[in-house]
Amino acid sequence: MLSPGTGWLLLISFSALWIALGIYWGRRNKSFEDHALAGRNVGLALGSATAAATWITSNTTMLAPQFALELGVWGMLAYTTASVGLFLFAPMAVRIRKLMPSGYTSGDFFRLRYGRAAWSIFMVFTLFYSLTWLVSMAMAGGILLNALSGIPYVWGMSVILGVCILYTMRGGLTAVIGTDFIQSLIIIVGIVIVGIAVLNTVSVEQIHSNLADTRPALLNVLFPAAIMAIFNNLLFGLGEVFHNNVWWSRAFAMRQGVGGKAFALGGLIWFPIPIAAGFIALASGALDVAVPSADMVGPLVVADVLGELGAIAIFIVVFCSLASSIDSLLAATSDLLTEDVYRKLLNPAATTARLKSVAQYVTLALGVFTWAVCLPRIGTLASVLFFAGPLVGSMIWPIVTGLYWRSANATGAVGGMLLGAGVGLVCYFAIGWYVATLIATAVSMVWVLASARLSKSRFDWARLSETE
Amino acid sequence: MQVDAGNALLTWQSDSPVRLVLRSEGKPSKDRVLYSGPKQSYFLSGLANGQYRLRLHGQDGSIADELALSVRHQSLSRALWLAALGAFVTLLVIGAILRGARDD
Repeated sequence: MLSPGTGWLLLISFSALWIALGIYWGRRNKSFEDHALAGRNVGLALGSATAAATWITSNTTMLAPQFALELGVWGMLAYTTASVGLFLFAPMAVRIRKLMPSGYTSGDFFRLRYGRAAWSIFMVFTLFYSLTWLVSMAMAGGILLNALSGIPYVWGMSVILGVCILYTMRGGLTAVIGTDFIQSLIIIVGIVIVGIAVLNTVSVEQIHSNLADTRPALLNVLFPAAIMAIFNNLLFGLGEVFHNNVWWSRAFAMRQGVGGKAFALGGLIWFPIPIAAGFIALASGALDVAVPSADMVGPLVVADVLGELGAIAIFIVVFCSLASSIDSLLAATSDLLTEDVYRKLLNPAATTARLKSVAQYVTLALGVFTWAVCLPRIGTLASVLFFAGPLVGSMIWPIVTGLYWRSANATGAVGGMLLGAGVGLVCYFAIGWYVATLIATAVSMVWVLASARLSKSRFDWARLSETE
Repeated sequence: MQVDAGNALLTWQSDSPVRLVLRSEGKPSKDRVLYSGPKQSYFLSGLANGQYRLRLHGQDGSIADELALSVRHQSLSRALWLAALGAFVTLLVIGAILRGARDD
């Protein structure tokens, strides 16, 4: 573990860097479009990096090792299936940009494609998911910084959240994407160094032999819990990416023709990260690292292999992972509330400068709300995030068919979301988290496909290209 | 204690270092030291189906009450059915996206 002094030094240095970059990148933002969508001018390098960095959350660096330690090789691979969401969103981003050249949010899509009822359900589901993700990330920030360096929980959580609020308010999506680029490079270099160090310390044969002797189920290809987790995790990832404004705002922000390549490249960049992180956990036995709780296996192995240098590396990687997700969520959720609630419901005549100002205040309000919820250190919100699985799974089919099929309709979307989420939540409690998203997606699929099959209406795509 | 995924978080309270020993009740049964040191928890995972006994030895030679651990993994047939359903739903999603819009 690092000394609190070293932890504070790292925390203050990186905080100052992100805030300075946020202010620098945000100086040219004049309108809401500049602030929320980076002027719709993001290129391939920044686009790929932001897709990968946003998806590398503290879950990727902490939960992927936990998955491997609990569910073995299948668990590690199950976690990598989250990259499928980015791969499949690549063609969808091209379609979104084509159908909605002036679009701002995923809420715009639901409102224009399916009407107010479906939009309302979408808003409830996505706000529940986004706020839960945001709170769980901020809480994880405080807990991890405390575990890695002894910085008090409240201070660690407050600083990381405060820094993200400041540079997101000042720089908008431009700052978020710019810092994502640097953060993704740091994370990748950090993970590669750790992986090489582990392999230099212990061989793959030793790891395999140790697992076969002491944790045989982790090598079992017919491990029931791990088999069930594969497609549940995959569909959870699809639901998260397909519906959330974090990803839609990036699709709108990228230059024409860039989105498809950027999301596919982002998926490729992200894909090996959970494998490397999971491999570290599988090596814990061969390295004789005792693990007091599953979620700390990653930091413990890294600190054991690399000592003080490893502790510094994992501290920086964790800080970057958290910041790259918290800033994206703050920006995307504030844009959603500004565009879908303030502009569309409260003040349709608002100027773009006024909208930019409202978006900044909403970012601040979201940050303060998150801080207040995180203050008591509940510490169990990761499980609440799994609770959101049925909600996001139930939105997959309404979105996919809504983008590609004229016959998809509001009855299908509303019924699919309500039925899928309802049955999925019942299964969450009756069977377990590992089936809830899968069942929700399947039920929603049946309803949406049946509604489209029986429908005689044909949607006019031109209705999606709403102009301001 | 019964677990269905082969893992369990073991916690204890002790003022001095301890040694945690696992005995699998197979044929032949064998002891394995899981942990020696001052920590107060250990995450055990990857156990196959079977009966296990856990013993905590104190530095002064004292031994805490044994904990019986029964590992019975979830139904493999249910897991395979759910995986098949998941594969079917996933393939349909992929198909719908790759097929694209045919009626533009």
